[in-house]
Amino acid sequence: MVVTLRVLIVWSLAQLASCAGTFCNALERPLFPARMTNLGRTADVDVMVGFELLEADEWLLVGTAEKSRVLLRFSENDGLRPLANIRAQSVGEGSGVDGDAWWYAIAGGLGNQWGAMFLQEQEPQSRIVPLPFAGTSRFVAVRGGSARGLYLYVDPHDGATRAIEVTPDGIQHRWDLAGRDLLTTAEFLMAVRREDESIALLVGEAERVTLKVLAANAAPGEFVLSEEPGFRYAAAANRREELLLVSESANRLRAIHVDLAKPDRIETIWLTGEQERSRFPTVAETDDGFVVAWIGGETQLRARTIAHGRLALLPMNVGPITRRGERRPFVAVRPSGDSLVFVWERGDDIVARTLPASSSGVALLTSVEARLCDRKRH
Amino acid sequence: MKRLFFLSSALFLFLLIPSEKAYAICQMCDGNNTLDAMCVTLGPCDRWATMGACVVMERYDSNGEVTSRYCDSMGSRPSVNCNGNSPTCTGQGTECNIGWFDECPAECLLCWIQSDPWS
Repeated sequence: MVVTLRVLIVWSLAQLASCAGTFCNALERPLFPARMTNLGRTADVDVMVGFELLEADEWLLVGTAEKSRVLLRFSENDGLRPLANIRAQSVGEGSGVDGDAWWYAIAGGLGNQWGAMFLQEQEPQSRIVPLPFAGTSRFVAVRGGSARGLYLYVDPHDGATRAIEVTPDGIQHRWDLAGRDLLTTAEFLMAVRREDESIALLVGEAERVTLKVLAANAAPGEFVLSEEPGFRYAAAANRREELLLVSESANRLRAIHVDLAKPDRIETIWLTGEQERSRFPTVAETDDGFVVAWIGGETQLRARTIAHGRLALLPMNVGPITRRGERRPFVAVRPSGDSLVFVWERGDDIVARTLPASSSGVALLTSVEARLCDRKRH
Repeated sequence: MKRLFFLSSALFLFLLIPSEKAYAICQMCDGNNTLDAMCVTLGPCDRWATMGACVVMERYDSNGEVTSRYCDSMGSRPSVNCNGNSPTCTGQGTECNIGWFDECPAECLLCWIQSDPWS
């Protein structure tokens, strides 16, 4: 009886090993391989600050160089090629995609003018909209739709904080904002255009996050989203008018999920546990929710999805990442069909990896692959 | 003797402290309130200097690590020599087209880079 059982166990193990071999042979290459593009040889860029996914294998990248900004386009066929070089003393910038075409906006000192400059893929020339000069001022691109920005400044005449909505066609709306110190205490600003054409402005300070709703011909509405300590904010809003704000809180990542139509309904989601330190979150909207990427344990880029308000069971490992100096590491993630495209900086290289949009599924599949196949490959 | 020593020390220190005009500098802040905030020293023909002196200060999280940086002007203002006030300064603001390997000329505000010659 015992002998029969032993034979059965040995036979089962042999079958399992045989299956694993077939599984690994079928894969041949590691699942979802990463692709590297050397940036140093193509452009003299100090820091990457912007990324837009134009098509599955075409990106717009924005980098900073000494006293200038560099716009680059990457495609699978042409590789990385510089598009434009802008001399600017920036108080803020941002980019977006309208349909399939990219746009980029930067505000501040532009030669002899103080204003906002818009570059659009479908326009052969830039447009500059003059803005009132102020020593204390910030600019954010408004996400969602066509080229648009929000210029925030402390009016030197009366000390009031004001906001101006600006598009390539000129100034659209103006608002007076509450809080005289807003621009000196705000560590994070993010603006998104809503379906009713109002702008949701998110202001993150060290111990307070507020949502300001800027609608035409109306006084700004204000909602306090959090009065907890938070650092290194990131946020995104999706087509379903949901907003996800992520911040570092001690060593974990905390997300605040808000329905923009009912901003008093706030849900707090803890994205990471205490087993390793999680830092530098990045958020992007997906068709059914959000994806959050971050650096876990100092060297790993990890991500987790939230679909229909539910947090995926497991985070996925995207790849190794190294941080240069004390800078914020450049990490971007964008949805592409049923996949997520992750792009990040590693030394002089830009690394890209496309993974399925389910973080739990990827986590399980890569774990099985690593356990079964790594020993065979080596 | 003691009084003479203090008087000459004070005179020496007074001469050592530079007058604003002699050390006039033009500064602005790039990326204020972000991790990448930095003081940018502008040339006399650049415009939009907002301060004469600039120091980057840091804010910290609960672990004592930097969360953001901001520029402190320490109350200074840009000198009268800043912001393109010299008659030798020429205007900037041209939009230019340049080749793949060309430098963007100083008089150009924006340079569109033409496709590479081999494509």
